[in-house]
Amino acid sequence: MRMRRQDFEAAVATHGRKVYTLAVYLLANREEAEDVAQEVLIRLWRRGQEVLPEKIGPWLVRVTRNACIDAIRRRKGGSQVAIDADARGGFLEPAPGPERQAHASQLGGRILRALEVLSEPGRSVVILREIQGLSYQEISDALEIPMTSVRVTLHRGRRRLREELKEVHDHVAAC
Amino acid sequence: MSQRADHESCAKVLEMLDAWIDGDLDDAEATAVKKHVDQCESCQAEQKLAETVVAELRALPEFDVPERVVKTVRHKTRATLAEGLRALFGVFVSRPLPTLAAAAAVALMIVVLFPSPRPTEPQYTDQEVARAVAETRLALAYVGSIAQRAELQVKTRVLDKGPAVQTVRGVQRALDFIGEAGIAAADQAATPQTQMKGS
Repeated sequence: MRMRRQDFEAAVATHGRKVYTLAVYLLANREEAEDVAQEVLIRLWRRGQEVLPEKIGPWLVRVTRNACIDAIRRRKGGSQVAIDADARGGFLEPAPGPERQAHASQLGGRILRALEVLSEPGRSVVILREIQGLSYQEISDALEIPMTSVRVTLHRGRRRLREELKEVHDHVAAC
Repeated sequence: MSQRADHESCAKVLEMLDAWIDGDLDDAEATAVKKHVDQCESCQAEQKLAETVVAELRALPEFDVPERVVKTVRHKTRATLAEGLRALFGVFVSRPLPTLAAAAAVALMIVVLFPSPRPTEPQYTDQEVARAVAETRLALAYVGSIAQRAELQVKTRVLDKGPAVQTVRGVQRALDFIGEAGIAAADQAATPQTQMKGS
């Protein structure tokens, strides 16, 4: 059942940013993320009335993640979309100060690349927790996994990221 | 402490390092990890890297939905609203003749089902009554065919079919019921009139 127009606009204003940001980091591709955000918001319009108002946030996260996983599968099944380092760098805002800027250009760029190494649900959990600031409870509700699993998955994901980034960090620290 | 014992305790600490940084360990575990990290350069370096990675992740920006996406979504959701309205009401709005026929049939049924309580002398010939019954049957059959067409159109036009199709089926069943009742009442009304006229 379709949502009322005013409820739909309110949900887009509240959760739109969350949807698009998750898609950008999961797909590492803004164009695909725009397609996914569009698809998810239209789905919200069509199905939103079936979701309790307080569950719309978790529902949107779940639907967005599933849409991104489908997009990645399609990418793997069909022609691979190449994501170069410049495209990744485009996601990063320049950090203040020359030292931090230099660091961000190396470590920040590598973090985005390292995120792609993480498997699901680790990648989603790291993005939702560390980049988007969701609580363990919110992540648990959205991904429908227990809170203890959220914690364990997050910590494993961060360890995996460290393994990927150790070399760059050591190099930056030595400079 | 032996090298092997050191290695084992480092491995255990590394397992708990992220939970320790996030404050998720109980007091005893947190104290044990802190004691080890304070004495172990390798684990201190790992702690520093872990904190840097978390800080870098948290410094990554969030993004507003691009305006063009919002515009497209608004356009498409308005289109679906218009389609929905057309599917639900357009079938009646665009076909005034069936609507009038349906209204006439319903009016006729009301007259047949709820006759005047005042007894009156029969005023019609057998032929007139037979013709009225036949016309009532025809009108009711027409109402049935309109309802079937409406159901088919709503099925094809409304993507979210569940509740809409159920509603149309409900209307169809109600019309079938009214039709059967109307025909039975018309038959019943015709019989005594004929007998009275004939007697």
